[in-house]
Amino acid sequence: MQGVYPSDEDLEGVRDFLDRIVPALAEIEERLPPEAAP
Amino acid sequence: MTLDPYNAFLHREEENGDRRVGVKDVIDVARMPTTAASKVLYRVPERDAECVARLRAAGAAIVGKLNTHEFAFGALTNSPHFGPALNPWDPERTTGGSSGGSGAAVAAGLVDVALGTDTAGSIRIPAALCGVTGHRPTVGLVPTGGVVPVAWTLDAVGPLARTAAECRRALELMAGEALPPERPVRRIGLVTRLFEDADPAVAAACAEAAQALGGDVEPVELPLHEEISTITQLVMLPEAASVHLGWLRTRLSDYGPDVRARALAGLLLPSTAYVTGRRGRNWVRSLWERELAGFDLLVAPAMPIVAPRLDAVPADYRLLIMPYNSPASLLGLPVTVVPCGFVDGLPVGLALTGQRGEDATVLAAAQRFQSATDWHERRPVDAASGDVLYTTDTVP
Repeated sequence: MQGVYPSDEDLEGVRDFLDRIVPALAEIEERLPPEAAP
Repeated sequence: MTLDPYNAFLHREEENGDRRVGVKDVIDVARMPTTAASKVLYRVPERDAECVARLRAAGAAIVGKLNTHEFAFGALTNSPHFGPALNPWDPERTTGGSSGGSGAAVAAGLVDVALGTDTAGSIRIPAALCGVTGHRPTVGLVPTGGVVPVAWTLDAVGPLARTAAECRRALELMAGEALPPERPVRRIGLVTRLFEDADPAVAAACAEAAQALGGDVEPVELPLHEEISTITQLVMLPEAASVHLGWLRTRLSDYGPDVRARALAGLLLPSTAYVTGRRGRNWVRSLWERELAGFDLLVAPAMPIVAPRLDAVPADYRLLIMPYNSPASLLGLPVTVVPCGFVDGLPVGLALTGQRGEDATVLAAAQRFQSATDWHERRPVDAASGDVLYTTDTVP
């Protein structure tokens, strides 16, 4: 992780975020119009 | 020196002068420590941040550094290292955040103007919950040099004060130029979804206030409202992880648990997530600009709830408030929050959002609202003595 060493407890704290964001991210990726550039 | 019963200050030096300015402790003030309410950062800069230097050059007395959520990366101002800022309307309740010390200091009359920063609501939330006026400027209007970033492409520095007129004066000084003329406000879009999702009493106070703005108030549904909160996170979390990467490598255990989790989430997201966030922002912008072009202002409750008790913050607080704050953050739009009523003795804020660069338009609308109402003149009462904390006479 780029030189960062979180504990298991730290990773547990992140899970809430990722459990919510990752599915929403996948949905947005599917819906993004191809002409939308960064 | 007057007391600071609300833990608004992290560092305090003087209180002289009639232009007392407090500065959120993520913004450098020469020879005062910058800690960002963290255990990780401690620096005593030689120079003011550019925005502070401009205020000082205009005669402001910089009276100290104000409490913040750790690294301005959260919406409660409850740093585990420095303790929570307390809401002057009820010290058992949160100020919101992250510029909670700024909101408390203005509400309690400890400063005339407070500087805050706003990445995803951090000026607007404490302005609403503390019953003061706050302005999130168009991104880029106020220089961010000498300010600890949260997320570079979302961050904005702005003022909190009693009135929109005071916010405008401070904003023009920080921007280094007068704002361009405002546009006449004829059509006002009432963002129906944000009224429907708010506490009914909060929504009612805001709906009544919207009628006092003048102009034709029309309901409006804005596109992608559901997605905007996620897209904002996809931009903010990786940028914040990049800001903190060096400290995450060496000081991880010194972060409070909530900020540590957010920073790690940004680190764990794949690089394509950030690209998706940037693409999503442009997608939202293209659709919103079309809708916004038909309106001179958008209005909505600044927050869906009044200040929660510190020991009873809803578990879904972040999810609850993100739709209210993410759109203007993502698109870099100017927003002024004005006090517009009370629910159970606690202040309610109305958010006026303008098109990009239309800071003068939203501030002028806020000034007109405050000329016609007196919500901004209400003062908290001291919990112990029952006395009004200060009177209008003490605020120049």
